[in-house]
Amino acid sequence: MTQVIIVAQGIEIRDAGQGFQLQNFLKAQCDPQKGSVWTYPKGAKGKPSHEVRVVYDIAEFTKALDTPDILVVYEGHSRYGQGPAFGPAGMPKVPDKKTFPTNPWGIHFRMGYDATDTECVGDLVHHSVTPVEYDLVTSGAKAFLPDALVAASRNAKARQKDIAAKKIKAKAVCGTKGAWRLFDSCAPVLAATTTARGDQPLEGRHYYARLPRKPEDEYLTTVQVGSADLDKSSLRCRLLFMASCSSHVHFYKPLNNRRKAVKSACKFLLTAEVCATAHAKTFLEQVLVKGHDLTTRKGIKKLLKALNGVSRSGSVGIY
Amino acid sequence: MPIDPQLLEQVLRTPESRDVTESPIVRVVILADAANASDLVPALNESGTVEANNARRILALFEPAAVPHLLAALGPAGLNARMEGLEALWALLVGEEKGTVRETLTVAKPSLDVLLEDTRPLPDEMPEYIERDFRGRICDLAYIVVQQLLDPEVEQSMFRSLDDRGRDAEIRRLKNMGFGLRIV
Repeated sequence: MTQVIIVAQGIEIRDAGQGFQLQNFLKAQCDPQKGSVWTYPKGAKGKPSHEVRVVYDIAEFTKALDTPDILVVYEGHSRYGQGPAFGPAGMPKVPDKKTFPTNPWGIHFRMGYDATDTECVGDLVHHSVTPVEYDLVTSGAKAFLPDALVAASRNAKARQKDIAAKKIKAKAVCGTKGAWRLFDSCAPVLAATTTARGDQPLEGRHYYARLPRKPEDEYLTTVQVGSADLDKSSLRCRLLFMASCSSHVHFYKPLNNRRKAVKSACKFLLTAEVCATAHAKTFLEQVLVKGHDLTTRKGIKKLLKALNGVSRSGSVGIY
Repeated sequence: MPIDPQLLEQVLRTPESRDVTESPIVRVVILADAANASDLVPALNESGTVEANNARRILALFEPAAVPHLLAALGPAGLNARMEGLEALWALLVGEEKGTVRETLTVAKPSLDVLLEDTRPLPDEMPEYIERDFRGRICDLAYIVVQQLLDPEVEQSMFRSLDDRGRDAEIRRLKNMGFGLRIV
């Protein structure tokens, strides 16, 4: 039987080193078929042992997760926990409004916690995205949040009480660590920042942490995520490799919850840290060329050693 | 016995177009002795070189017995080697049985403690487009790797969200608790 592997490459990453390395590997080792389909081995006379499909959109990624027995690799951004994002080749950091009335940087496969923290300058302004804010002060007791945001919410609520009780003076609010602060009041210049798309991503938005950075400080806010897309999936694929930054931190719990809910046997390969390497290419090398059998412990061990044998691997583990 | 330096140099210069991990020198000579892991560490001092990339690939192939040698060699090593070495530590232990992980880390604890005390920022030569959702220090990476190895289900977001002082306290706690085994 031909083993099908879907490689879903995310926005920007498809144009970066990861994209080039994947294409070079496929050209060298596989035969091109119609569309973005490749078969291995090159020049196979009979049935190929593997078929690799490279996809670049959310619909194909969604479909892949529900396809029985296939192997799925997502190579792209975690978007700080907002989820996989896809886009056409050559997508600029800030796409123009005429060509992209909806900003692809703001469209995600939802597979996370109720909320994630993201960078106000490095993400929201940088890509001109305006995700719905997650209010840390009104967050409910049953909210599904990473531990860091449970603590951030508790802290923000306590500071809010102190402010209401005038234990913190009005002029000291902006300097109060952990408080849920409005950009318009505390950083009006940033709040008024208008992007090339004409958005003001920080206007009316709050932040709860200010991080010292050079050349300018960074601010963290919380945005709504949820798992609406993952919740529709039956996770019938055999293996899902989330080759994106800190995918264990951002997605493991939601993925594991879903796996239990639908009684899926899908295994997850996830990263514990920031990763910056061509994981999809290495994965294919190990599975196609080296022929590691991922249904065995030995095969998985060899794959993990290869994936973690490169710089900035992100510490890939199996879960 | 250390690897013959000329032999090591030869294998580390293997061009990237050839798979260094398939080299007979690697399979028969280098991997035959866990202590040889330490000889690969100096090549990790410079980032992105052919030698560093090959050393990293070879290191990942060792079994857990190489961990104490790897970590001991990271003591006098430079910043980049320490970062790469910690990532290699993960490669050596991920997928191993819990008992093996605990036992190996416990044996190597004195060397690991040195890394858990290194408060220098991690070198960052990643491309600009990488969305860095965590910017830490050597000691933070050491903590994350060790914690995740000890408990694959562990939730790291809290540690990552702390400031340096908060993370230092967590690191001290880990160092004081040890890794779950008592050496008699």
